[in-house]
Amino acid sequence: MRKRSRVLLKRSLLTLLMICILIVVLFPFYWMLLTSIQPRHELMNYPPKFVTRTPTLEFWGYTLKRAMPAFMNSLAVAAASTVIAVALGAVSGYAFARYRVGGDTLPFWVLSLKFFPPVVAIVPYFLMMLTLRLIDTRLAVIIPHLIITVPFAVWMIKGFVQEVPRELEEAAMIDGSSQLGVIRIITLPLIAPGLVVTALFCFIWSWNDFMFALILTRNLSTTLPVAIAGMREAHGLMWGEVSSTAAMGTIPIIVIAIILQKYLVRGLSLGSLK
Amino acid sequence: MTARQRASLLVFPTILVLALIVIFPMIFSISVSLRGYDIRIQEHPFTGFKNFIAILTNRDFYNACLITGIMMAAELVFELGLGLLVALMLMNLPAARKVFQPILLIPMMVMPVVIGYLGRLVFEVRSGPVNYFLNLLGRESLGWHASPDLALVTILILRLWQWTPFVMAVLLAGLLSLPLEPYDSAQVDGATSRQIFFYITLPALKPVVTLVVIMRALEILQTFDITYILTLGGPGDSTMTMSLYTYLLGFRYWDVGQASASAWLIMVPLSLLVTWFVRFMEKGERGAETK
Amino acid sequence: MKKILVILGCLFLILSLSVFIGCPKAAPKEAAKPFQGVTVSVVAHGGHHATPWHSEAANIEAKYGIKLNVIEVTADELYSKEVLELNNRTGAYDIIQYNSAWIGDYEQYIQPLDDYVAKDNDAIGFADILPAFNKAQNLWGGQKMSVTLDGDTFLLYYRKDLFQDAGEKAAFKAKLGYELPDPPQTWKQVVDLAKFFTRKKGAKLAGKALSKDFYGYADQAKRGRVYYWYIFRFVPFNAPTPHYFDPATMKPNINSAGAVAALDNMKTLLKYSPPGVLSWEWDELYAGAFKDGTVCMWIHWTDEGRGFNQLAPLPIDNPPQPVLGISASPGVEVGGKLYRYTIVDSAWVASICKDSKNKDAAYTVLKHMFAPGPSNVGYIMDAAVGWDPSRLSHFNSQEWRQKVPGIENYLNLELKALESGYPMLKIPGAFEYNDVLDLNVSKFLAGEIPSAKATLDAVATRWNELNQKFGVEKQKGFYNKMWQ
Repeated sequence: MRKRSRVLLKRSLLTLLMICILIVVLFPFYWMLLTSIQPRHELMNYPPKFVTRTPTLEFWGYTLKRAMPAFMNSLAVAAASTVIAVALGAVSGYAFARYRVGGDTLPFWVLSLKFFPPVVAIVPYFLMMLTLRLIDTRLAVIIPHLIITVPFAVWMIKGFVQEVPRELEEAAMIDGSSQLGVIRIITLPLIAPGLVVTALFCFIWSWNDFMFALILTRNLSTTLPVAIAGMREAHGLMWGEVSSTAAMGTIPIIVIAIILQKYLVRGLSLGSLK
Repeated sequence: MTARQRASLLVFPTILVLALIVIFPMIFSISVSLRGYDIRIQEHPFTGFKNFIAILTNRDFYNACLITGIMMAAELVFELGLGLLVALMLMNLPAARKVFQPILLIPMMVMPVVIGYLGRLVFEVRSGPVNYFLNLLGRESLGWHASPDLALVTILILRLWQWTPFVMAVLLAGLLSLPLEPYDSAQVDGATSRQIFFYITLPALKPVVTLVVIMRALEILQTFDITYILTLGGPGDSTMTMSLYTYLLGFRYWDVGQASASAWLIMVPLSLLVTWFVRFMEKGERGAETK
Repeated sequence: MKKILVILGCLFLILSLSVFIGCPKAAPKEAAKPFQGVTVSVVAHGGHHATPWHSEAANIEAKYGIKLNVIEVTADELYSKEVLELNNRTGAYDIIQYNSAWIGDYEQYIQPLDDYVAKDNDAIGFADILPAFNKAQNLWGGQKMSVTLDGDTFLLYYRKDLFQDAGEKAAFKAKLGYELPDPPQTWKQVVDLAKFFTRKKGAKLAGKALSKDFYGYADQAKRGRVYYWYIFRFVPFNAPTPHYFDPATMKPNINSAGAVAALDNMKTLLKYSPPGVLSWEWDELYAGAFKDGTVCMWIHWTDEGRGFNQLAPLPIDNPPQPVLGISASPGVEVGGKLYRYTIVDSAWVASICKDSKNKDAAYTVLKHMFAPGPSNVGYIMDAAVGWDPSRLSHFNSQEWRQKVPGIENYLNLELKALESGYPMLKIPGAFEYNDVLDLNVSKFLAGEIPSAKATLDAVATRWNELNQKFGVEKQKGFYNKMWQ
């Protein structure tokens, strides 16, 4: 009996601690939501106001009216970067994992591209897109994003494929299935969580990028981070509008993450496929 | 066609795409680092290693390296430490895990620019809730990002907020996937929980930790949004990180040549460091596997 | 579960295919208008500041047939983006909004307006723009390069309600030996006042106990902007002939004896400032001083002056009716004479790009937006937009006086202050010169550099290096153009 209550005590204490941690984690997000409905004059109030008795919807109105094009641009760009990255990553990741194409050096070169500081690439990409007449198109933003997302996807998926024991595939092939069939029936389902995780991270990275989007767009294909940065008053910030737009920018990713939760948990592990 | 050749064909599109997108910027940045390249001045004379020397003799560069080094070390240590702690806690709360996990991933999904703005609000000395809570607990308000001593700490806190949950999620998944046999045999042998932790859990987590360290290290080096918004490297230059320094150099002062040189100066030793780190971690793995 | 994945996968594919979808094009309109079918692109400061462009787009199209394409860019990156586009001659912009401090870098790409002005007899109203703004923003080498869009300038704000308190006046005179100066006129007086009025919560202010800490003075001292607040002192401390450089030799004047005294003044006033000023941008200073009422004196843009009746009361019980004191920036006494300067911000102006294919149409748009008239005044009066008065027609506007009783105080005071306007630096690389100054001032205030002299010597050294980089003779030419 005593041991049971000890375990219960431990569990309750831990739960309490976790709740505290959750509060800390969620607090800035709460502050963001609060600022998005708080009337202007309550901003930076001393003492700080933790709830507002007079919420206003004007900032959300502004966001839904003015920031929608940027939102759609962000969505398209991030989706495209993700799809391309995962597609290329899956195909080459599998090849690297199973056949060691290019030995050690080729995969390492792909990985090393992640080290390339984006800052240095700004001017050359601007010149490139200028020559290709792609400035201010969604494609112009997607291309530099691929530098980061594709190597990442290749590397991640290679790792996930390596976790699937080769024997599984070989056994299936002995039983008569084609290689493609084996991949479809055995490997793919096993690395599906990994693909989901990779896709999510690629999406988030592309969604949050500010620098490339700033330079390579003018006003037709601006993305959300650039739009948010532009929300200034004469000298100060449009805090309410920034908060509501930022919140709108976070919600789709959170929704996707919740839906794909199961895959996320499984995908985040490297050895869960026993 | 052999299987190997078919595999090379699979890899080819990826390599092609990457090469196409990366070749021009790479050649450009190498060429530019050897020139005096200011976009506003028409002439771009070849200056050899002048840019590199200018950077290596610039006190601000070393200051930026130092700040980045401190940030990197502190961030990695705290993220891994706290992440592991919380992951271990969640291991003991199987029921609550489902609820906590997605919530814990939220900070990572907020745009870094926005986190900078939130930092300005939350840590404001006079009106921010953080100092308000400190005062409630009877402590003095702190200077946070207004204090030359605490500004870096403030940025660190914001970054820990943003990324520790991610590290925790990865470590948790790693912990959940550990095979049970070693634990069972250890308990049969009568090992203490401390011994189990240090001799079984930690070593088994090596691949996960490697992955996390590499991902985090790269990200820490490249992003500067929070620093840019919250302090712009200030007060003074107490929060001037490498990435912010390179950005200001190449993008506000338009000395693209020096910025490229500085980027290469960081990139080369860094990639060597990471390669060495990966090999080091993998050696342990391979050693364990041959047992 | 698999179904959801499939659905999401399809969604992704659909979205990614939309990559290749361009943006819908506007349908062409009928009827013969002067610039039928012409598109004029204007790059502007993002946010509320761009509202007038958006609002007038329909009118401009109806009247002239011009389609106005507004490209908003965040203020911090306006310079970077514009330099990239201009230097690569992309022709993306017809009208460019910018900070006139960058004219040194932009000059070769800007179309001077003198010919246009001569042809239509100054319809755009340069004569209506205050001389201070013309000199500081629009004139360059004797040519009219731009038209003022936003009359940013800086004023000293102070708690007049506090200064009028009889008890405090008497105490001040007793302690310091002279009448409490209302308004403060010199920086020395500001230091005395700041020291006198900085009191902790619980102490008495105007006879009653303070409910919050009260501070004498506050700057916007965050890295990135703090150099403005240094320049407000640099200029008067170098009276009677302040200069950034020696016009004959281009030797930097930034480490003169006056300059060092100015920086010391800044450090001294930090003692009487709220903790946290080193992280204060516009919002924090506005909130702390104006909305919270806990600062006695501060220098800021014109927003407080325009919204004078929103000043918070003093943090005491039964505070007096809040009264905002407005005055020109404090000066310095030299040889018995008081020298005061109002720094005219070099922002924001609008010009026509030389690479524009529709210069005449662009000029028409500029005229429509900025010529004196009710719609122009309308935007100036709208505090949300953030365009500040810059023309006589603004300052003398009866409409404004009727709409906002009491605004004449602010308008008249600013008019008077602008009689002694002083420009900010406007040579090529101005951004860098200013940023070097900003970095070092920030370091000094943060305690990283021990002495003001060492700080400013470092700035002077770097300024000399920048002179070399751009060419000393060239910079000298540009610097002299500033004053023509």
